[in-house]
Amino acid sequence: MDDDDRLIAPYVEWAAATDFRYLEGNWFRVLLELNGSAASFAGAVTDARIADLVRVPSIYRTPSREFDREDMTFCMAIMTQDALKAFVDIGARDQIVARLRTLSPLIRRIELGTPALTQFEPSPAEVSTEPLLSVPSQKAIVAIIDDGLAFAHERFRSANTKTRFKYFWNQDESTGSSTAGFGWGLELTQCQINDHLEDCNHCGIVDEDEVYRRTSQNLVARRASHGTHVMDVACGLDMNDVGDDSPYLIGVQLPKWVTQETSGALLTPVVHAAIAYILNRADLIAAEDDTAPLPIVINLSYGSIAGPHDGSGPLEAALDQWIAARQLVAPLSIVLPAGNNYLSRCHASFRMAAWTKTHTPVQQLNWRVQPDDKASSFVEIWLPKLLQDGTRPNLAIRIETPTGEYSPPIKRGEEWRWPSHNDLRFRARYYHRAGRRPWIKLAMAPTSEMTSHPRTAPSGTWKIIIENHGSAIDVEAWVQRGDTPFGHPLWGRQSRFDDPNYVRFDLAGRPKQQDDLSSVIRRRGTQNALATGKHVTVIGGIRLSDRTASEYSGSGPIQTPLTGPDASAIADDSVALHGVLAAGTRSGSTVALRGTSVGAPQVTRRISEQMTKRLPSDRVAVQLLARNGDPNAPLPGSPLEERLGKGRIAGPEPVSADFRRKGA
Amino acid sequence: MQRDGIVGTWQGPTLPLNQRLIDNPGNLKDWEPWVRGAIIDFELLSNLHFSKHPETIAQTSVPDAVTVWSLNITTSQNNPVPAAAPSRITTFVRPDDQVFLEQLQFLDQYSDLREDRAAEIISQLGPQYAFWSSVVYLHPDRTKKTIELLDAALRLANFVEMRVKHALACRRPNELSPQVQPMILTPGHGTFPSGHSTENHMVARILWELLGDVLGSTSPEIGEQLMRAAARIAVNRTVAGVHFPIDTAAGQVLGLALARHFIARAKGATTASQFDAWRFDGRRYPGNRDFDFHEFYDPATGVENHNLAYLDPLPSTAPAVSNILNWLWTESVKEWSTAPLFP
Repeated sequence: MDDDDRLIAPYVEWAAATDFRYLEGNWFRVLLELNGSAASFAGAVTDARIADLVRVPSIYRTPSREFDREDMTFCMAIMTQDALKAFVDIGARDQIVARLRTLSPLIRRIELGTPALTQFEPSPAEVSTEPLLSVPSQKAIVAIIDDGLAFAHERFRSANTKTRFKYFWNQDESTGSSTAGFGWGLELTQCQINDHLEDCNHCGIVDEDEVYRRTSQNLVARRASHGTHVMDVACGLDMNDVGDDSPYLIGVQLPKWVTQETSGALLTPVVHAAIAYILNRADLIAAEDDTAPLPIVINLSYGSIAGPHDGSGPLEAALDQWIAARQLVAPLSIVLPAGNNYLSRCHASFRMAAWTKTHTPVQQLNWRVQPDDKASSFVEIWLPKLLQDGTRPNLAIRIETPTGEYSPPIKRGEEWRWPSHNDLRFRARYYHRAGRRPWIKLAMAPTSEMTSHPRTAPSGTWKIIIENHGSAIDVEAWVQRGDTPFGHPLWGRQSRFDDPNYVRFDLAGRPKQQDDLSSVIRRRGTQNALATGKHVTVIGGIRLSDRTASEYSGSGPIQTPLTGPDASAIADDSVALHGVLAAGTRSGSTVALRGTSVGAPQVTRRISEQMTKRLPSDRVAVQLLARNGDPNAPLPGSPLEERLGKGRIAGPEPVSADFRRKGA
Repeated sequence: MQRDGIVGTWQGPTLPLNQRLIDNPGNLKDWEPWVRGAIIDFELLSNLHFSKHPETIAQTSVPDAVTVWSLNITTSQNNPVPAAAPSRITTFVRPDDQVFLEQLQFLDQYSDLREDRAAEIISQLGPQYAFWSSVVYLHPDRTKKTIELLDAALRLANFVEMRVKHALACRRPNELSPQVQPMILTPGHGTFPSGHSTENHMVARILWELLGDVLGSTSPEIGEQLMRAAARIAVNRTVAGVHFPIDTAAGQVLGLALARHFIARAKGATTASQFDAWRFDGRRYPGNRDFDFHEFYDPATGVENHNLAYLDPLPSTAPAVSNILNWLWTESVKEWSTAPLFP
């Protein structure tokens, strides 16, 4: 099957093949990889008069330093179901296919996002046309992309009614549609936030509930939120400690749907828009201050599990493009966590011997899917582009359902649908294209649906039987993230691999930290699938008490020059004291949250300090900081380096200790 | 047995009879607390009246408004027959069905917070002394009279709110949808206005006034925290799934009006010329409107907002001071003054 030239859109294919049953909506956000620049694509969309099918935020049409460049080949867009079906040619209508004919060749990859509730209208971006002076700014910008950002919290104010935010964008569409350059969500400028703080100031205490009610900020109602905690670790300050060199803040709160959707894969379009926003507003700040472009560090404490792990994922490639392009004018760092899936049993890795006339090597993987899982589940099996003898991988896989039904062998370029074409609950597809790594994607319907005619897949153990018909091969497989994130109603449940040879606990009952070679399930190779790019900074988690890796902190190796994360930071105070203390959603409150998500922003803070001092801040600089600051830094090439990176970044005054002292 | 052993020959009266003064509030200190409670309840309730009546609002007549009246009862030297001069405390007009139907969306939204607020909600089922005493230093041994005073206020609130709820008889959220699924048992009385909101706003207002007397002037900071606590406890009932935000708003108006009435009876109206009654017209409350306690009341100044679409200020007169309540108020202030709370 020759599909080398067809665009790649695996999650769109699953959605289209199931007629968008498990992801309801008419318009969807997408991240596009293009054959050409984002600006020229945005122009082509305008020329094609297809606003009823595809829309691109006007920021991408605005001439600016970044988007005109031929090597900026990603953009965010929204598309209708009809358009998506037409692009992947599943259930497409001829008339729509015809209207999109000129656009199709321009798109290389489509990464599906969450449904868009409104179709934004063109809302021209404000662009700083003034040539930026070469007077360097004394400031850096810390930008946070996350959920539940309590922007009125005192840790982000310089005085009782003075915010440190220069710009805040709530991407939730229900909040408004006026954000310049994008056309959806609510933007708050520093002045506007200050006005709200002033209006809601009662007896010298800001009524933060009132501020949030006035600004439709619904995601900080609970005592703790991921975003506020992360933001405090990255850039929170006591009001009295705010000085001229304290960084400017920009916050982007992702839409509610994004974080409720559990794979983490569907957030890439809005993250791309968030970064476009941050860079654009950073230029406005420079223009306002009459300085050269400011250095920016962006904290993105998000992760997924399944992906190529070689930096070629769509978001990873897009982040690398941003950083490379921006480096030409000012430093840009993007900090990501190493992920929390070391013990999740979501990664399998094994070597298969070469096929001979007398022996077909076979390996079985058990994929265990939970009952009451209301989200689709996915497995990705990634193969090398070329094998050692120069041939291409040649596998055949068969699926056995928990109900005992078998698929035929699924070979290169083939697809299997179960139980039937029109009643799809499971789909396997073997992508085999010239010049690319071959991979196999398995997609499964939810195991529970609250509808009167549920179309579900059976929960239980799905067997994936892999036969090798080619030369010896290393196979890597990941289960995609599917649990429900902290603070959200229970929706998805994490599926995993199952293997009787996998030992979870050591003899003392502790979670076992070493892989058993007898098991195909591997703890190694669990680094955040959004964090294997060339230029991003990736941070693992350690315990403060014994300075060893937090038991869940993801590990390399990854298929890039690096073997794992760049460095590691504190994710837990000890085995018993989980997490790191930082701000709850209301001023004066403190909560403990754990994970590499809270380690990453510690390094974000370090990077912002480096930037303010005009010291090197890229990932190599972070590695050097880590190695030089850690007397027990992992040896180069050691297994420890795969988890902790070049060293531990944990100053004499870790964040948590600061809070503990204040609290005591 | 003991008497037989020690009494000796009967001698008749050997102690002077110093009868207490008739109807003297000073006698209250001798009675058991429950007796004082009965006397105070009589004092408060015998001066109230409830009526259902047509009401003219903006030139149109509403058939069924309900009003809580204060009776200023006077007698003269010549004529012991009491004469009652009624003045309004609050009037309520039941919200239209559409208001409640629209308000139901808040029950779904607020249910997201149940996991976060569950412990609070369960411990706020009874009177919320634990929460008030965490804002100000209430203590069962040190501030006995203050707690009696608050108990009296709570009983008054309860009698009034139950009478109003009975008359308006509004359906609870779980009667509009089987998906509300409250996390606690829905109480067996009407939803509008909220009793928790009435009681908490009343207590917050009274405590703020009382501590103002203790300190010499009212403290905006104490007022703000007391009102935030009251609002949070009231809103928790929406999280729990038993109240609409409009119930909370109406409860706040009723609670603050009753507090003002109570304070006037206990120590005299502080701003007598401005004693307004409130008419809460539920029909004019927008269905999509949430509750925000600052909208109606600024605890920093104690000033109520006259510019809300659903509220009409109506002229009224302050009730006379009750020497019984005044005794309890004064005793309450004393126990704070002696406590080394505010040096």
